[in-house]
Amino acid sequence: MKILGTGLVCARGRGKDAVSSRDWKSPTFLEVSFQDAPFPAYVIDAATLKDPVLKGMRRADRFSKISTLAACDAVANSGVDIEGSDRVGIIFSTAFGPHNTTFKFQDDIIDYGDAGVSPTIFSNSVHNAAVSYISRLLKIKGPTWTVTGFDQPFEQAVALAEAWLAEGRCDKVLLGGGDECGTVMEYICSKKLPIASDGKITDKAFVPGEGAAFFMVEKGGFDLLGSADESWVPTFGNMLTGPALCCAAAMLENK
Amino acid sequence: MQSKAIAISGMGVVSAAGVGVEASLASMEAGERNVGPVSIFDSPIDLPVFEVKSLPPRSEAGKMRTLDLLELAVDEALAGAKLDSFEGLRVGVAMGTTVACQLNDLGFYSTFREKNEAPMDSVDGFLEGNLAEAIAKRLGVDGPKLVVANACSSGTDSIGAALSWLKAGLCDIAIAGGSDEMNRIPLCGFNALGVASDQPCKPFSGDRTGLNLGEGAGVLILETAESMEKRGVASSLNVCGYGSYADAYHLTAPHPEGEGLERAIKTALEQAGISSDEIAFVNAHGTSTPDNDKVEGRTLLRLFGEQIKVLSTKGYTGHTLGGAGGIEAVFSAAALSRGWIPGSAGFQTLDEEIGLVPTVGKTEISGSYALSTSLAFGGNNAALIIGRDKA
Repeated sequence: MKILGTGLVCARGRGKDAVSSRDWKSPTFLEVSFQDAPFPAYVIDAATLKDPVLKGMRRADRFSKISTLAACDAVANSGVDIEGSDRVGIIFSTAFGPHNTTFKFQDDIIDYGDAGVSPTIFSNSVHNAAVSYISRLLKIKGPTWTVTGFDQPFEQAVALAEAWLAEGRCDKVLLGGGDECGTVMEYICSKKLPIASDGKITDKAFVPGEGAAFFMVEKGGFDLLGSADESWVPTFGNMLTGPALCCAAAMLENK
Repeated sequence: MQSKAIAISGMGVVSAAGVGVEASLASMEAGERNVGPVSIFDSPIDLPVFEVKSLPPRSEAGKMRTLDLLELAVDEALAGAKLDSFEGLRVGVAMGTTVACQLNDLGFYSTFREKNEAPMDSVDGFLEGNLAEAIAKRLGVDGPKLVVANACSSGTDSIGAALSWLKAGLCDIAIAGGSDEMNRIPLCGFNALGVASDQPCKPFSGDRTGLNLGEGAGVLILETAESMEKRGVASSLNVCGYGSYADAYHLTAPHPEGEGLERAIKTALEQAGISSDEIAFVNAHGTSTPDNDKVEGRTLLRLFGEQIKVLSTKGYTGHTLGGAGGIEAVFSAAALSRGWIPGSAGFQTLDEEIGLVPTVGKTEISGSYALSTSLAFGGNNAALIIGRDKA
């Protein structure tokens, strides 16, 4: 596949600025309800998400906003005019989707009862809400998909994008991956994984992170997954779509 | 982009209409509608739903009901395909769902909220319950695996993903479809959106007032001709066309002119290499919501004319969300092979704004192609064409 443009939104910031330095950046140490000690996580600050492009997304959740910014940046970075095209598709991979909104919806059920919940929160809690926003904002009318898994979801999305391009289903695909952090997921991480209490990721110590990366791709001879620099220190934090962020960082550096 | 058809070598289904293809067809032929109040969890929302009564609410601690339903359908499909060993075969698994991709166990969350800790059983069930990964692990296959989370078109799109894999040579066989359980989260959500009816649903009827939720799973075994030949099996059914397009219009409402749906259908026809008058019947998405049925009914009439035979099997299953596309693909294939479709349950009066009268009562069909459509929350539309070899 040939990469025409890359968009990256992560705890380090956005686009090329986010990867301009290889210096180690400390995660944020969050005050959490489930343990006394601060919990390290690479989270995106509110300033990163302030952009006029999100003006029409007042009701969207943070997960959709992170994803949409990365998608818009990939399109802008490609310089390709895709508006209104039904020859462009989207494949967005996520392991956990907008889980904070799912829990917010459950808050509604607990606090207000089954019949007192917000329809807006429900609409935003479905996995494909982010792609719906991206499709509407960028007027992409090809297949617009959200795929999910815990075993290499981004890599599965890459394989599907290659297949779409090979069979002529699309001329271009906006291919991405993303996940968000949140208190419940951080609790689950603390129970399931060895957390790096000092915030320093090693092969034995994990720090969760959030972000999204998108690539505008078309048919051509380029090995996307083989292009990542193996010496790269994974200072984005990690969720299961982490490889998308690492690839994006490599692409932005190369460009 | 006309392309080679992929064979359907097996299929399995479970829904309120029955467990298994034959039981489901018999139930629909008899016009049975197994609809009633929610029984598998407590909720003050008193709306009719379509549940699979033969399945206990929970099988193992933490295991998702969605996976229980799917395993029933997969087992039937594999038996039909005569697949009891996968040695030497590259097998992919593509599944659609909405419920199973969310960590929506209220017991877990409410406990965590109250105590800042909670038992991890349901989290384990969620992490081990990714439908494609769980089925691949259960069967010991290691081809591509993917869960499609495109809301209500997920099941149809997972079949589309499988077709793409098979055409790209990523696998020889793909197990594809969808599954969803009756769950409190979507029940509350669809009730809040005001699209759930307090009566049994009436797809395309002028007096329809909304959808009923349902649960179930539908699975196709898709296979290349080379693999079928190698295994020494044959099938007269195939998937020959698929289209997927977005409305790029609204988070929850379909495009008023059915733009994305029309593109999806036209692409599926083009890929199958057939014209619209070769479609024997359409198994429509037909949720029974005012918006969906109006947009879909008008689009179908515009593309196929008044003579087209249309039904919605949601009158027998309810709206099974991510399972719907798989279930409806199975029903379409089964009906095509038997030469009849059931009546579109629930239809009573013509909606003048649509002008479409679906089939009433068991209807014989002739022809070799069926179309199954799906319209999703979020704006994705999918169309699948199933073919039958001419006798």
